[in-house]
Amino acid sequence: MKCPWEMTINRLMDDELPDQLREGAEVHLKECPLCRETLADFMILREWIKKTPVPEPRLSGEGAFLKLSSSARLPIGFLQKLRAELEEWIARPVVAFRMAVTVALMVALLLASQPDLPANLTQALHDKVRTFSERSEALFQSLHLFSGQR
Amino acid sequence: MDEERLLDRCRQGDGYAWHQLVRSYWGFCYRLAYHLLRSREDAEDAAQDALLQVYRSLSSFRGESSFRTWLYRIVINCCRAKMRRSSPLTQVANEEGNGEQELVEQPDLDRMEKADALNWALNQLSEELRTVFILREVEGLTYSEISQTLGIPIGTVESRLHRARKTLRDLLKRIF
Repeated sequence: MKCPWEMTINRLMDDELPDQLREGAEVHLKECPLCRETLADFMILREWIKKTPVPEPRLSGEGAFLKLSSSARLPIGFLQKLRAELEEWIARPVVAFRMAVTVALMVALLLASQPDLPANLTQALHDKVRTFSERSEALFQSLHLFSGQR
Repeated sequence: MDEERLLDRCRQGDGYAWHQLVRSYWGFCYRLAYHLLRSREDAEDAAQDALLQVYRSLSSFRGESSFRTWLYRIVINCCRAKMRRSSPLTQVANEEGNGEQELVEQPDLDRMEKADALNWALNQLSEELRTVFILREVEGLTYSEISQTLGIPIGTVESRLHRARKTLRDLLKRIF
C-alpha cells in the first residue's frame, strides 16, 4: 500500500517543506499510520548511517601530501618536505609513544644527576627511573604487538 | 589563512599553501569517498586521485560555486571512475535498470552487526542513489546543494533520495 503523501514525508524530515505546507503534512502524519511508520523507518536509517564507523585512513594528511607532491612534482622546498616527513613519522602512535618515553627518561636522568640533590632523593629517582623504564618497555611491547596485529 | 587566500597561493604554485590545502581537505575527501565506496583502500585511492585532480585543475576553478561544492564534485567523479574500473558489469546493469537491483541474494542479516548490514544494503544501491543518500544523510547537504553539486534538478534529487530510502528500508526492515 502506498500513501500519496510519501514524498512529502521525505521533505518534512529533511526540513525542506515550506511553512505553509508543513502544517498540513504534520496534520496528515497524525492521521496516517502508514506515513508515521515510513517516517520512523527513515529516521532509524538516518541514525544508523550517522553511527556507522569510518575506519581511519592509513595515510595521514602529511602522507597524502607527500604522495601528491611526488606524483604531481609539487614545487616544495627541502625543509618543507622534511617537516612533512617528520610530522608524518611522529603521527604514528608507536613513534610518538617512544619519543614521549625517551623525553621523560632524559628529564628524570637529568634531575637524578644533579649533584646538590640529597642522596636518598637521588636513589629514589634512580629507582623510579628504573621502574618507569621497565613498565614503559612492557607497555611499548604490547603497543607494538597491537599495531603489528592491525 | 582563509580559504580564498589559500587557493590564490596554491594557484601561484606555493608549495606551503598546497601543504596546507592537502592537510585541510584530506580527511574530508577520504570520508566522503569511504561512504561512497565502502572500502578503505578504494577510498584512499579515490581521495588521492581527487586531490591530484584539484592540483591539475585549480587554475580552471573560477569560484562560481564554493570550493567545497567543486571538491564534492571531483571526489564523486573519482569515486564513480573507481567504481567503473572495479565493477564495470554491475555499473552497466545499474545504468540500464531503474537504479535498484532486482535480484538480491540476502545474507543472514540477523547474524550481522548493524554497521555491516547497512554496508551490505548500501552496496545494493546504484551509485546514483547512494550518492544522493550519502550527500543528504552523511554530509547534511540541502536538496538545492545536492542539485548544484550533481548538476541534476531538485525533483530528481527528491525522487532519488526517496527511492534510496525505500530500497534501504525494504532491505533492512527485518532487523529494524
